[in-house]
Amino acid sequence: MLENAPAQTPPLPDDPENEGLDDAEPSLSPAVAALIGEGLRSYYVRLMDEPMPDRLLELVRSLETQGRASDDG
Amino acid sequence: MTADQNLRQEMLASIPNLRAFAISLTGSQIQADDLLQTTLLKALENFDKFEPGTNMRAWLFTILRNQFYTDIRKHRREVEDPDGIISGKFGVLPTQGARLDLGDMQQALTHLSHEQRETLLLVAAEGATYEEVARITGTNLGTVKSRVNRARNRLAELLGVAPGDDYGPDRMVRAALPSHSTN
Repeated sequence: MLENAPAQTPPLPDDPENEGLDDAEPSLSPAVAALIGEGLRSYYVRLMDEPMPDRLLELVRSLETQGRASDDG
Repeated sequence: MTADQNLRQEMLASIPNLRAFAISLTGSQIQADDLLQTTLLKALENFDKFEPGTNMRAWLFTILRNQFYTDIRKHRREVEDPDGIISGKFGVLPTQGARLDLGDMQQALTHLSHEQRETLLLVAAEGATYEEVARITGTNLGTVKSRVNRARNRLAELLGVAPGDDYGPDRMVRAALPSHSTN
């Protein structure tokens, strides 16, 4: 979904989070991993459905208006 | 429809995702809306710098994420739970079952590091690939994999779901199922 992302910074070879991955952490069972994944998606979808405040709606409306104006002009 | 209008449409279409990501990062709807507003304004200011043909949503996520860390450094505040309210309430394990409680999920996410939280959400909720997340977060593939793994394990622990648990039928259900014995 997010292919062709923009510029990147150099990798961090010494990042401690990148060390000993396979040994350091047990893998979740597929059922637990699926449960966590489903929970995260449900949580995220609920956040996406949260109503936006007026100030953001105004910004969105101005974005739409600018888009139309640049198209017309 | 012009190219510019297409890009603006893409930007508009990304707003719900950006907002969900912002709320997840900050743990506060008010801070998330501030962050989203700043992100959109910055994106508009730098619209000419966006490279057509690259991914608008990834570009916006990168701006939002960078702004989030800029805000943290600037204000040096505890963004995810400023009053310790959520942390104080946390500790009640969810009902074990086929679904996780969304409130528990929200609380559990606040206990992950910012880096683990953003990485897990981008992969599991946004559907981004590890390579895409590495570009957005400015890190390498191994770090992304490690953060996802650790974040999922930590979430499982916080939610009271043991890493090796089997979420198949429980003992009572198994007892009611026909035996597979050949006798």
